[in-house]
Amino acid sequence: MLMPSFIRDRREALVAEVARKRVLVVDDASLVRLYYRDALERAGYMVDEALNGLEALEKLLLQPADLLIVDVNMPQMDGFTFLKVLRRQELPLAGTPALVTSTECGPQDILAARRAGANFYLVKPLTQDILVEYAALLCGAAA
Amino acid sequence: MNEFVEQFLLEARELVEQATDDLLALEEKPGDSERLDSAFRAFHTLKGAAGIVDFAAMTRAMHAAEDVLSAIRTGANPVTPRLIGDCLTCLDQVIQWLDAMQVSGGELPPDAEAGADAILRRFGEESRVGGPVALLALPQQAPVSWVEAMLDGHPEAAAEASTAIRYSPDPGCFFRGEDPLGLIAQLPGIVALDLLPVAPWPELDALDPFACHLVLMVLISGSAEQAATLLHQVLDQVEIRPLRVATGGVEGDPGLSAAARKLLEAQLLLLAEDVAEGAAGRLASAGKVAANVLRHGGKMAEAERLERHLSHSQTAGDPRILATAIEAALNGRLLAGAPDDVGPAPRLPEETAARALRVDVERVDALVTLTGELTIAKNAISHMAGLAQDGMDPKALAALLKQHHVQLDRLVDELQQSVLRIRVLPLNHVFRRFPRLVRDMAASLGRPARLVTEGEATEADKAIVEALFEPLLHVLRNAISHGIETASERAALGKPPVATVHLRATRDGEHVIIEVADDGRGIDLERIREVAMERGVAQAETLAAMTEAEVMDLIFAPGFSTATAVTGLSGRGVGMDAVRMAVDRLGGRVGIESRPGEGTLVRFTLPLTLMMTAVMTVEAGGQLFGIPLDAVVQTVSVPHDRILPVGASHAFVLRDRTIPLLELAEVLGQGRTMTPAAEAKVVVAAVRGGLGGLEVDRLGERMNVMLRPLDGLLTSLWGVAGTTLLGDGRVLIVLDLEEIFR
Repeated sequence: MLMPSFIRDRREALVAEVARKRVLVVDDASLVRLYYRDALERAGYMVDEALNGLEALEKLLLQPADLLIVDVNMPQMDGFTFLKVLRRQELPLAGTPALVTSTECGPQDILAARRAGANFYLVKPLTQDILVEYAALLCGAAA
Repeated sequence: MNEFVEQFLLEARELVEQATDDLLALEEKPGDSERLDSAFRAFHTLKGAAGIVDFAAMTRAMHAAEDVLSAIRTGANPVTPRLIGDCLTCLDQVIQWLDAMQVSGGELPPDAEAGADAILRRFGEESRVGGPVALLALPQQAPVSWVEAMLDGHPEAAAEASTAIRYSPDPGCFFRGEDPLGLIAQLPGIVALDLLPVAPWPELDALDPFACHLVLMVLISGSAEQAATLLHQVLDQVEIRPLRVATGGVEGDPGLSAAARKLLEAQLLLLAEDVAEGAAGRLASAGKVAANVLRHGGKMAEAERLERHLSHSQTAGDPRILATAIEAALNGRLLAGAPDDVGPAPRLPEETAARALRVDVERVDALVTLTGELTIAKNAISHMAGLAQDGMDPKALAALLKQHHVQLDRLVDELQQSVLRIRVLPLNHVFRRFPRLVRDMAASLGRPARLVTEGEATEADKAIVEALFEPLLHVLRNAISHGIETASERAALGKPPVATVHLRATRDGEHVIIEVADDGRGIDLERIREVAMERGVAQAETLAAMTEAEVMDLIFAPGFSTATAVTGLSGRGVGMDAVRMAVDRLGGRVGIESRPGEGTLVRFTLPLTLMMTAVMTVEAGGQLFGIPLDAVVQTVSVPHDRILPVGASHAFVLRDRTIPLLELAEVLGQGRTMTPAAEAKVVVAAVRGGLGGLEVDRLGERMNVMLRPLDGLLTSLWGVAGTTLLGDGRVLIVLDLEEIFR
């Protein structure tokens, strides 16, 4: 189809904008949020932040996300409680993919995260490369 | 039938085929661990599939087969023909169940339990022969409280542990010389051990101090197989749980990165968690993540497929459906299954196999191009209508129309060809059934033979591929029951003891050639002559005048059969004449070549597509009929006084040959029409190796038609080969002269 190039470019930019995946980082540590945001934004994601589970739920009800990256130990509402509450919501919200990142590395922690409804578990600290690699897989972003 | 059952029937059939192939290959090469793994997986997946449709009897049977195969995997059992045979029997039973379910619309077969019992008995004998091994009894990730208690109690060991074992020794074990602790101590890589009192603890009065009241729970880094082998003497007192998700082992999908695999496996674990709270959300998220992982790897089709499984899983409220799909994705088999858009449930099992067609994109493109050209041609007609309205000279208009007709004719012709090309199937559809059948025939006849198939990918029209089974089966049967010598005879002749039968397909221009070649004793021409005379197929003087090839061809004559012994397999009362008839019906030819002592080759030459049939129309009893043109030798006018009564029927003489004459209207029960004309119009046709005359009221035109076979209740209608639609919308009945002159 013939189309003036300026329209085509604008259209592509719009399409790219719409196709960008939204990630909600739920963590009370600002350094962690910054670290994650930096990696994800450079990889082309739109990043939103929440300081705890409660705030995350509020944000999700207003705007859905393609991926949640959730810490465990947080004030007001911890990560596991947040996930349990989230999974009880209506679809499609309840089915939002969730990655738990935590400093705890025991099998019982991984089991607990799974029982809460986490899709995957990464042990902190983790490199930005690994974070981006798993985020892309969990979101289904193009390789 | 609900969609799970439909999906189950389709996938189970494919799995049975897969397992059959694997088992036969395994019998050939007992050390082929890939085939063994593949067969094991097929049984395993069958078991899982049966679980989804709640088919408990099949689950039991598959489980038993799985046990036997896993015993082979651990090396506890050798691969024996008997064992392969038992597994094949088990698959036969599955097919019977599937057929029954297909016909009943998805009802589980009522006698399934008995069938499963029979299979279990069969395998029971096997495992006695082979010794231990019945393990992996439960779904691999079923959450079990004692396993979790064990893992929770030993968090430091949980990461290393790959198998959990609970051993409840028989109370009297000490008196049998068993040493539970000593046995456990031998397990490879113990990372945690718990000794617990039995629950409930016996009353003090009743407590036997010499009995064993302990339960031993162990976490090991070794595999479940190792544990089962070591504990085989007390297997009835032991529970063994593998802790890691099995992902198909060696043969995973190479298109998945390590991270992708980890994520998919994590979704399996998530699905296996039995937490009621938020189950729908967990299921949806697991499905979404799995689909995203596939999408990220560029596997768009698989991702879509997986999402369909997710929605099945959601409607059924059963996470196992999604889990099975994720497992399939891990093994790179998600797309290898049946096509998705399966139509309404077919009533007959055999219809399913070839219902869905896989079509080459190029062929579809060709169709699209042709459709475009046709549209242009269509527009030209309205243009011409305009010309006619404007008062164009009729002659010029006629010329224009004629020219246009030629063009349309070409397009329609091409379109027909293209559509027919879409109907092609690989011959594998029919070939793959034979290795198994040949194996069984060879075994029951005591003539060791193996079948080598070649060119399975060769394609032919769906109708041809589907109709080839019977004639090929007959030829193969003949090859094994008559063509091949016994092992001792072969040894004496210096031939390899196991005979080889080749089943080959090749493409030759517009034809498909299928050959069945054996390395047996060949056909004795003298014997054919003798039999032909004995059975009255040919007279001595005729035989004397025949070439060797003509004599050989007598094998296909009706009433001829060289069988000297009627066997359970080949004495079915039909001979090679049935084969020739079947191939004829497909528009093909069949020929035979043989060298005494070296073997026999039967060759089918078949058309690539079921082309248009050329017919000639005739009128009889006021109705129009079609006669296949390839049977018509000539049309003649015969004066009525030259038609001679012969008994109850009539005949006439054409070039010194007496030809039987039937009046078509009478034959078709429309009453004898009084033909006022002095001459009878007769179509002379070649049928059943001779000539026959058919008297009609009027001869019509020749045309090419696409013959549709009769279906439904009309299938058995006498004398009709099929129907086609005429240009004016009338149905033309095309006659089957073979039947009319029978």
